[in-house]
Amino acid sequence: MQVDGTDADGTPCTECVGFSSFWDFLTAVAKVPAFCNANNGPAYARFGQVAMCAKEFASLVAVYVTQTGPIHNDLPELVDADGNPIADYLSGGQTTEENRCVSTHDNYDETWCDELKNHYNNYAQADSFYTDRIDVNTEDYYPRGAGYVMGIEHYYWMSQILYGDNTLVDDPSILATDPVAFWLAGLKTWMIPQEGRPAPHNIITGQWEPTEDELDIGLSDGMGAVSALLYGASQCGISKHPVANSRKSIYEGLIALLNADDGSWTAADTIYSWEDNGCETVKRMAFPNDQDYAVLPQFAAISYLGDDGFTVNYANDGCYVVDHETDYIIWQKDAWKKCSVAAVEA
Amino acid sequence: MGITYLIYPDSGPMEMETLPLYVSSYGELCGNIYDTDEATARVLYAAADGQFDPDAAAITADTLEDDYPENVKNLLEFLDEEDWDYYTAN
Repeated sequence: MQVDGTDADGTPCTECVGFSSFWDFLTAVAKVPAFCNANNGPAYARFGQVAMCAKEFASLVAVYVTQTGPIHNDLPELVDADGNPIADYLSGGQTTEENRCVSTHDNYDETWCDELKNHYNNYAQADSFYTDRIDVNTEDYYPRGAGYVMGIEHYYWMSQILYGDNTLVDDPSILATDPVAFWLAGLKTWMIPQEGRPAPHNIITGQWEPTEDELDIGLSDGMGAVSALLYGASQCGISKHPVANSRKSIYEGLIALLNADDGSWTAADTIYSWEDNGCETVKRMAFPNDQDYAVLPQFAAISYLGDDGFTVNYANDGCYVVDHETDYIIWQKDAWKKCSVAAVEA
Repeated sequence: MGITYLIYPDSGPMEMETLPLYVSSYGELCGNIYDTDEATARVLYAAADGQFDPDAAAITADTLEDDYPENVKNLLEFLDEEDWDYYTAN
């Protein structure tokens, strides 16, 4: 996607520079230390970090290009100056938000977007934990950013993790207009396990392995499971889904391309024969949320109230781990330390 | 000794479980993967990998290679600005 900027001579121009520079992307990556430098799961620990990084990058790009490309977003096919179609793998980045919810976009679909609102909260529907911490507002927290962050709760936590304040809930448009925040929205979805399921990062680095139940529904290690996680029945279990097939094709194309100049590694080395790059053979259903990642408490609490309703109990080691929201989410830098300090002060 | 996980069921009294975690001398929450089964170890890896570092400095064309964090160094082994511009030109 091209946006307004300045040309090589410094003259202002219209739709003439890319939305995100290479340096924007690297800046976002630097804020997510384990992306491309994972604690690889046991089955993948024998591969070098660079080769595993190449595999992870290929999978991220395949998701990004298809998610933001013309087909998935019902946008006109891209053509070059001669009118020839531009290949799928070069067509990503056509949108930075769900354009069906953007009232000024040609694809705006009020009915569709209203239906989507049944799946996420704005301020009016938010739990008191959030309304106690966020100013009253009428913002619409529809999907924005590379990871399609959606709902006031996700905007709130992303804001706390990245800014330590309410920047993103106060101005959610940042995810679609600031390139570094845009990429970080994608990396949030990529890195953080949610709702009892692994994150794509966990799948691609072997931090997730299919259980017997997951094998029974056709899930196996690899890129296909990432597709099943992100798109489930809407794209998987279907032999000719254009977006799913494009994602698989882009992934395989990149994997074939990425290797060391000196021949010391190839991305293809990191893919086992039992991995599945596509998801057409996975049963048409949502990715299971009752398996190995079903229990992953994400918050720390300084105390709990005893059965008598009066006694406040503090932990010997500073804090407890809980599922429900507190001011300390484990994905935030130094969250445990901050909780422990608060416990001592209490 | 582990960290206590407070479980609040939809109904009934709160339950407690001890997780295989400990607090390091730096005040960080840690897990020993050798004390756990493989599936739990993988989830512990996931919990560690999900941490963000909002204080990491911006990377620009002027940033010295020695100042790149490890993950950026890994990425730059096979990706450069020319590749990026080619793939994002449209």
